[in-house]
This record gives sequence, structure tokens and C-alpha cells, in this order.
Amino acid sequence: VKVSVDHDICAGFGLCNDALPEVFELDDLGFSVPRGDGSVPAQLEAGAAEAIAACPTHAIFSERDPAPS
Amino acid sequence: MTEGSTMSATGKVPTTEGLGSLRDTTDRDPFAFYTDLQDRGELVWDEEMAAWLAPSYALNKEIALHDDELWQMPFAPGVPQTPLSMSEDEWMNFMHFNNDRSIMHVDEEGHAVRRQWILRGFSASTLKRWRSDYMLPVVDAEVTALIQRGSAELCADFADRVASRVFHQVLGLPSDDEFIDRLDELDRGRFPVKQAIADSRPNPKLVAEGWEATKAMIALVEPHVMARASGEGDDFISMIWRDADELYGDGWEPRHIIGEALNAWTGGTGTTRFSTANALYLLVQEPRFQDELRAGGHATIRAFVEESLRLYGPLAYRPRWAKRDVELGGQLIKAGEKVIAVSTAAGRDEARYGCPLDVDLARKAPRDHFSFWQGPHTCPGQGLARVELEAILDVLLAHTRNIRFNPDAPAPEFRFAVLRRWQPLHVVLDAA
Repeated sequence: VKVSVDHDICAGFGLCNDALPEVFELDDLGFSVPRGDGSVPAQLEAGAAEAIAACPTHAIFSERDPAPS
Repeated sequence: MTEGSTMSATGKVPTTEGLGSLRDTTDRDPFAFYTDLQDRGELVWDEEMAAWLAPSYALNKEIALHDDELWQMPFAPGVPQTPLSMSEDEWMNFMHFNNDRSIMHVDEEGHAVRRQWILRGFSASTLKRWRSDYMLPVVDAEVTALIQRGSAELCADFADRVASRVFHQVLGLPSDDEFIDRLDELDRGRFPVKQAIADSRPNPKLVAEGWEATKAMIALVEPHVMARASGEGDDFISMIWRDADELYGDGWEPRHIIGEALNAWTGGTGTTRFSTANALYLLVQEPRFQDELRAGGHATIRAFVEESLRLYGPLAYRPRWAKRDVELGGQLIKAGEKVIAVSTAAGRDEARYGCPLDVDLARKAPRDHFSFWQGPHTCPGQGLARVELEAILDVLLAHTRNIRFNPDAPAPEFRFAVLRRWQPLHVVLDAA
């Protein structure tokens, strides 16, 4: 699974980084970005799914549920 | 019975007897009281406040996450008490500047929709643009002025000025001193009514004066709101004009937009002034961090901001009323009873935070505190506040070598009751 964060939606709560810092880091201004190419190690997929569901602005997308283009 | 406990329907419960009341912490250092409270238990009855105090991390989290389902907010429909015998309608209209479709004036479903809209408005893309266009020029100018003076009182001379100038621009309101001061002055006229929230005795004179100030605020901002009716600006008021159909539904009127702008102003100005002052206090109080933050850059500054919010979040506590009988912390809270989530105490709960009184720049889950609350009523402007606080520290630290308290001036105190800050902050600054 790969994740992405849409910065037209993300409001900078940072909960995903709090919950799963192995997958999400914060950019210079404190907004979440996926680490590397956004690939989620298999053992963290459940955590990533929780982070996606918990995002207050629904700004995180996975390749199974891609961002609208 | 022993001191500090009383009997309830569910058995012996801890009370604040012998500790005083949360009310007594006004204008005084509340931290020893918070610690004593946590030692008493997760839920402690405060007779003077006629409320259960919840000082733990766990209960603050539990209350926050069930805010819509279980708890009544103080400024939302269904309020159990209004000040000075105001009717619920009058109180709600007073609080929301005559906007009966405000984000806080609707049911949970309507609130969620409008809150989501605000969050979309305060997106990363927008905040990065506002940082460049609105924040950095203001902060640069105010820091330059500070350094030229060499000494200052950082609340009035800096935090209040920066917060107002930035937020007025974000909203789309004039940001000159005269306009800012006039709006502040009028808002102070509303304060006696809000302060009387626990007083149910009628006082038509106080209510009339509060309404007079409210109407004057509406009249002051009205032409500036109307001037943005094209919806083409890069500001909050223009955003509302663009999406008014979505936000307010059929039959909306300009007064709804004016009220929303003032509601946002109320929610965003004081809190940012106070959180800025508290972050600056910590920076001066713990001077070793000044060099550490300069060396560490953005990530370190970001961590420091979160620690300042955790330790000295500007909103000390939040009252809630149970919508129905509910069990909280092993205690039955009956429908209509008041629970006060003591958020600043919860941010210092050693059951959750290792060495809670330390500033730990490597703390795990650094944003897991209650400064902006959590759950469905978490502050929608928190991204804006964070970007601004970080920009302020970025610029201030880049242009100074040392900031220290002025030993010849009064020392800071942790002032006020609910919205709290360290004040005054008399400092001496050395330029970089």
C-alpha cells in the first residue's frame, strides 16, 4: 500500500505523524507528508488504515482509495 | 468521613475540600492546585463551582472524543444556563453576533459540515500562502521594531500586535492600529456579560450595554465585509462569500457572514495573543532553548511550540454538561450535571507524559495535548495558529542573540481565569 497527503485538504493537525511517524513526517511548515515514496510496510498497514480513518480532514489517501484527480 | 471526600449515590467521592476551588486559581499560579487535584482522583467534586473537575489526560480525552454524543457545550443550542436571565435565543445571538446560522449555533450535524468547510479553508496550501503574504511581513516588521527599542513588554508591544495584524489580514479586515484598537475596545464592552455566565440574576443594564457593544462591532465590520462580496479575495471573509450557499443554505443574508467573521475574530484573536505570549515566556524563562532552537531549525522550533502549548495552553479549562446520565471515571454523572475538563492539568498528567514538567523537544506524539482540544470540537484554526507561532519564533530567533527578563521590571505572573497567559513579559533584547 502507498499513501499520499493532499495539501489542498490537509489542515495540519499532525495526528497521522503522532500516530505513525514511521510512515508520515512533517514538512518544514509542519504539514504531513509520506516518508519516501509513501510505501507502507506490511506490518504497519493496519496502523496506516487507522491514521487514514482518523484524519480530521480526510486528507490522506491510499492507492486503494486514491485522491480525486 | 475524611477531609477531601464526600458521599454520593455511587459511594464516597473525592472533593476539593481543603484544596480550595478551581475558582480560587484566578490570577494565581494554578499548577500546585492541579497536582493536588490529580492526587485526589480522576474526577473531583468542586462544591464552589458546582462541578466535577476532570484533571487527567484520560478523562479529558474521553470527554473530548464524545463531545457531540454526551456533552453539551456552553455556547451551543440547548445551553443549561445563560447569564443574567437572558433567554437562550438572546444568549446565542449575543455570543454569535446575531448569526443564527453560525458554526456554533447549529446542531451537531450542521456544526460538522461547517467545521469541515473551515478546515478546507485552512488547508496546507492556503496556510503556506498566508504565511508568506500575511505573517512574515508583519512578524518581520514587528521584530525589527522590537530590536530597535532594545527592551519591551512582549504581551502588549509584540504578541498582541502581531496576532491582531496577522489575523485581521487573514480575515480580510483592516489591520491598522485604529481599527484594531476600536474593535478590541468594543469587545471589552461585551466581556461583563460573558463573565456573568454563572449569574442567573437579571441585569437588564448589563445586557443592554453588552448588546450596544455587539451592535457597534457589527456596524464597524459591516462595510469591510460588504466590500468583499465579490468573493475574489484571498481571505476568510471572501471564502465565506464564495461558499455562502453551501454554508448557510437558502435564504442566507449578509448578517450571517458578518456574524461569522466576528465569531472567527473572537475565537482566533485572544487565543493567539495568549499562546504567543506563553511561548515567548517559556523561551525567556528557559533561555538555554534560544540557542538550541537557533541551531535546530524548524523541526526544533515546532517541537518547542507544542511543548509550550502543552504546558501553558491558553485555555485552562472547558465546561461541559452531561446530556444524559453517563459514567465517567467510574462515577455516575447525572444528566445536566457539570463536568469541567481541566485541560492544562491534563497536559501535565504524569500518567501520560514522562517528566511532564520538562520541555522535551523529542517527545513522542508531540501534538497529543489539549491546547486545541480534541475530537469533534477541536479548534479548526489550529493549523493557522501553529504556522503563525512557528513563524514568530523563526523570525525572532533569527534576529536576536539573547532575550532575557528585565530585572528592573515586574516579573510575569500567570494571569486571568479561563483564557490564561504569562503577563507582563518585560524583556531586554540583544540583536543578532
